[in-house]
Amino acid sequence: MKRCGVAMTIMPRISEKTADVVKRLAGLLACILAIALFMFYIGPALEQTPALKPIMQVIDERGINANMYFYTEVEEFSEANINMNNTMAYPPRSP
Amino acid sequence: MAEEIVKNVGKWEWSEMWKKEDWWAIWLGFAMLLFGLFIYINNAPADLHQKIAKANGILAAESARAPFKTVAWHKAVDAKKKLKATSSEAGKKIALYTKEPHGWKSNPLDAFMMGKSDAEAIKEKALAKYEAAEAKAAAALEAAKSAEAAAGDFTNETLNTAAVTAIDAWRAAHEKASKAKKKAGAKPYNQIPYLIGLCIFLAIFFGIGMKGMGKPTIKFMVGFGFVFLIAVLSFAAGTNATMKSLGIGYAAWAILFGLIISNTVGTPKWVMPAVQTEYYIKTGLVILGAEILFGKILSIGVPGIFVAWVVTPIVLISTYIFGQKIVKMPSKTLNITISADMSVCGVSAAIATAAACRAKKEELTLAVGLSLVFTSIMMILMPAFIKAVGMPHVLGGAWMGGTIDATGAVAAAGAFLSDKALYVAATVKMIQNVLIGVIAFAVAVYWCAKVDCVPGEKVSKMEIWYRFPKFVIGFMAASILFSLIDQSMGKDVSYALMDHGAIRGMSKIFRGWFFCLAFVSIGLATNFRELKHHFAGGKPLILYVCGQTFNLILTLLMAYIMFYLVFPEITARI
Repeated sequence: MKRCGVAMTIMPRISEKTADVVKRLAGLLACILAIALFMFYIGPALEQTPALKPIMQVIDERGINANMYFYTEVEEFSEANINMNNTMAYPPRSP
Repeated sequence: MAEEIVKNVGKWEWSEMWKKEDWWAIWLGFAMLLFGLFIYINNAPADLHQKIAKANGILAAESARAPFKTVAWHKAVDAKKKLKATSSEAGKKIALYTKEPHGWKSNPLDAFMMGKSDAEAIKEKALAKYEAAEAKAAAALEAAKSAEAAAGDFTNETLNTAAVTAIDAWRAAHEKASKAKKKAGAKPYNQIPYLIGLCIFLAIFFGIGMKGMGKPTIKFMVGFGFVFLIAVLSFAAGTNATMKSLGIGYAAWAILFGLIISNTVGTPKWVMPAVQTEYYIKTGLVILGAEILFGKILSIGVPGIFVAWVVTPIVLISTYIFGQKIVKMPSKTLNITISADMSVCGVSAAIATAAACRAKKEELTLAVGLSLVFTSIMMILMPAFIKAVGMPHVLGGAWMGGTIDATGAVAAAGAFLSDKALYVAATVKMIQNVLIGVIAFAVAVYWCAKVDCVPGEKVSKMEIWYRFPKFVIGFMAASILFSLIDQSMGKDVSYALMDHGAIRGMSKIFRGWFFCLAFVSIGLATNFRELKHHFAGGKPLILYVCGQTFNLILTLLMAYIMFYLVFPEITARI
């Protein structure tokens, strides 16, 4: 009887724990699915909208890293810097 | 972040220099920077000085000869562009061993490895585009040369204008061909062994500091593998072609992935010793100091200084005061982090300011999130508006450079308009990026002297020193040291050995990894509820929108005054 009582009190605890683990794993899976949905369907669809398409084409053609955070991470900044330095140092003469 | 700060002990102890995190960030950061300097100064491009002298001779002659930038002028600049220490064997090896995952479109595995057949297929497809682009560029060059020759002695305004138009068309075609050439160089790769090697190297690198601080080194190293893995996945998500275009980078993914893990299955306990947000951020910021070169602020003359260095502090201080007095922000640290993030340059300014005032990790997350959302919106709306109203591209470029938070988005928005807009936008943004050092230092001093003390209390200079976040000293020292080296080398040599050597070949790479590790750590240690609490009443959003509106108005006004009323001759040169 005693053994049975112990089993009865442990069982609900185990099932609660299992349910919690399942809930957590389901949450993780749902997040992964949402990211995949955004990355492979919503994002590409957004790129094709008339409002975004022109700038997306420029980014793709020129290979711009539009998601970088500092000037040293974007190649165009180096191009701009050297061009501007030389424009200031060797400006075309006045007409 | 705030819970892990070095507490004020009210006295100076020399042992802090090998026991405290701030100092270890300085030692480790400087070790890396000095190693980078040593490597790249000893691997300078062959005949560097002779090649620069030759190009400068052509530039001087062409600038005296013609009233516009001639074909020879552009070719001389192109010749200087090729002089990079990162192109040396040592530079290529460092890039290979430290590279983040590759770019990919539909197959995530392409971020890590690509077989020979797949690489050949990409190469073949890109080669056709490159050949077409190269043919167009060659034809455009011939047309530009003919138009320039037709201009003769440059006395006929109409012929001069025709030559400038033809040269601009050649530059645009040349740019497209250069980019197409890069895509046509696809090769098979397997990045996984290098990533494993980098993980081990970084675990030892940070482990040395952990040992010095008396923290559990082995436990740190074990957990570090997990944090690094999430950082790799964050970079991989950020290198996806669509995410790159939409402006969603590794910082956003790192926080998101960390948050998902900690709020679903929970961050494993064995990982927690490696969740060292402050340690990674401080070391990354010391390294970032090397990228803050004060010589850059004169890149576009006085107008650039006014747009970036006068407007930005005005907007920052006004927004902070507005946040305190009108919006009544519940947290001063959240207020200054959002104000700096919105007025200076987004994520990097947010990191530096949050670390300087010891903001909470949730506050940094919130500021970064706001910046990323508004950056994407402004990157699309601003160039469209400028185009629609017919705003001059120099003005539009300066406006975008001074207001769009993230640098990548500035480049995209500028390129969408024209090369001229891109160059102005990028230069203004770069000057603004340099302001981070001053802002972080000023915020650290202000917080020690005014905010973190009892109202009415007068704080002595020594007390400020005790409280001061010491890593900021390393950050400023790196900036001053590299600025001095940059100035002593001269712009052309510095471009080859510093910009495309110690900075882009060392500092940029490791700083990116360290910030990514920090953002992963933030996510892994954050609860959604805590984050929600900081967003209460939508006050951060109100602060950002009001501050950005003021920023847009003031920057446009200043750019117009400087580039069109006060210094029109500089605008004409551009």
